This record gives sequence, structure tokens and C-alpha cells, in this order.
Amino acid sequence: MAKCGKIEEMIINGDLEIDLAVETNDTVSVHLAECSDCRMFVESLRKISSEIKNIDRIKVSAGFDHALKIKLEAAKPESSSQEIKTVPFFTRMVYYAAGVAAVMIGFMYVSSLGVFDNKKGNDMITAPVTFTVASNTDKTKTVTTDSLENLRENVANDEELRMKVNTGE
Amino acid sequence: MADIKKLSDEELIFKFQKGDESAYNEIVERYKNKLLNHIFYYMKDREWAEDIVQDTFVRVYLNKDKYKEIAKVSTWIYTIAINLAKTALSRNGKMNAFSITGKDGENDYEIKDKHTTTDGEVLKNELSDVIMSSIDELEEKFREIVMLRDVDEMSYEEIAALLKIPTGTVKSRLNRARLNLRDALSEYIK
Ligand SMILES: [Zn+2]
Repeated sequence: MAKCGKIEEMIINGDLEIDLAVETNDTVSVHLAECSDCRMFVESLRKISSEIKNIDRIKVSAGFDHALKIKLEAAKPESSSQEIKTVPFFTRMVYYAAGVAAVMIGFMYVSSLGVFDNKKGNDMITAPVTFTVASNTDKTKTVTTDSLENLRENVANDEELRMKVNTGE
Repeated sequence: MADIKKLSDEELIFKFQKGDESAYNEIVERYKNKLLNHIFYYMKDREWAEDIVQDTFVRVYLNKDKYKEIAKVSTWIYTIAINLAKTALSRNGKMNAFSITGKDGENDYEIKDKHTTTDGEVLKNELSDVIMSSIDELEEKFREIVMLRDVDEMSYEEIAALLKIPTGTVKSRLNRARLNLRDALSEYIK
């Protein structure tokens, strides 16, 4: 019993689309009219398609919308900024005070390093400074001092240094 | 409110992009059951599938501005859902080409899932049952096409866009899938 596979062949080769009404194709409709094998074949394909379409569909559970709402609330970027807006007045004041205090402490620390002192225009040097002066024994002499005042004092007390400074060497 | 039902999916998204949340809710209404059915066949677990569908809608909400007119809304939403499902399955080590029903038929994972055998979701008759298990046994690329075409009722063009394959390939795979199904179901369908 050699079954006719003409239509099947066409479908495999992509010459015919299962979904299209095969009757619109003249060659096919003429063949189908005279070939029961192919008629049954086309019928079985359609039946599979319609059975798949008729398979029971499931529906989301009753809690679906609520669960989605909760997930959305958790994921929305706006929800975090709204939280800040609802922080009580007193708590906000505490945040501001802490911020101001932090800035002040920072300023005090930075100014203690002497960064701002040079702008004052006096001759105070708060950080230790090293002066190197050549001595008459061809060696260099190093004086470490923390102010110009102390440097003058050092020079005044040191005979060698005074000579060098006075002669302008 | 009454005419929001008449808007196309694309019009709804544009409305939502302008801040209209009711348009978003309508999108959720239109897609929640469709997506659940599609994802359920991948996950084989009702709660898990619902979780994926919810996560899909969260992403749609957060990424509304990323949607561009070049794609259909359905393609965009299904892409998100399928990617989430694939990620979830692979994280659970179940990314066995999406096939849950083993080739040998016996599979306790299937039996464990009470959701499929309770509350009116039982497949109505033996034929439906056999068809579903035959679809499960198809190669993934064929199964996916059959699901999208016959279960989700998408057009060839929509499927092509979603899977990023030519329309011709969609058609030939669908043909091939239906022929395979026919062979598997030959004793049930005369
Ligand atoms: Zn024939």
C-alpha cells in the first residue's frame, strides 16, 4: 500500500504552508479532490492545530494582582525619594546639625594644618622650616626653626652664621 | 476609561510613557494570562510561572522608556518573559532545553506539581494530554514555534521578530514541528 505523499512532500520542502487554506492553491486543490491519502493528511494536520488551540488555558491566581503591586512598590525608584520627604521635621534638623558640625570640624582640622595662615601677611612660620647656610669651614650648617623670630635668634647666637649673613654670602 | 480597551498595545505603552498608569494596568490585563500559559509550559510550575510573569511586568514598568516603536509590544514583553524564564531555569539547573518531561516518560517532577492536577486545570481529555506531552518531547526550537503559533496565536512576523530568525525559518520549523507531532500522534488522529 504505497501511500501518496505529494502534499507532505510539498510541506516538507516549504512549497506549501500548513496554515494557509490549501484549497487556494489550484494544483493542491485539484490533487486533494482526487487523492484521499493527501486529504486525510491535510485533515490530520489541521486537527492537531485545532487541538493545540483548544487545550485548556490556565489563569493567574486570585493573589496575582496584589503580589504584582507589592513587587512594583518595592521596585519603583520613586518610593525611596518619597521616604525622605516623609522624614519627621525633628529628625531632619538633627541631620542638618550633624552636617554643619561635620563641616566645622573639617574646617578646624584643615586650618590647624596651617593652610590658611600664610595669607595673614605676617612673618610667622608655624611649620618647622629648615635653613641651610654655608659655614666658613666649607661645611654647610643646618638650622631648623619654626619661626623667623627664632631664626634671627639662632643667627644672633651663632658667631659663624652671623658673619656669613652679614657679609651676604 | 472606556476607550482604553480599544487602544492598541503600542498606543497603551506610549500613554504609559507619558505617565498614565491606567494604560499600564490595561497592558497587564491583556498579557497576564497569555504570558502565564506560555511560561507555564516552560516552568511546569504554576507559582514559579506566576512569579516570572510578575517580574516581567515589573520590568515593563521600570523600563517603559526603553520601548521603541520599532518592535511590537508583544515581542518586547515576550522577550523579557522568556529571558527571565530561561535565566530562572538555568539558575535551577533545569535548563534542559526547556524539556521537563523526560524522554523516558516517567518524571516525578511532573507528578509533584499538584497545580496541574487540581482546580480545574486538568487537561480535559486524553488527546489534549497526549498532544501536550508530544509537544514537550519536540526539540526546543520546534516546541517554541508551536507554542508561539498555536498557543499564543502570534503571526509569523511576530514570531520571527521575537526569535530573531527569518520568517521563512519560522514557517519551515512550524511545518516540521507539525509533521513531527503528526507522527507522534498518528494513532490518535485518523
Ligand atoms: Zn496525494
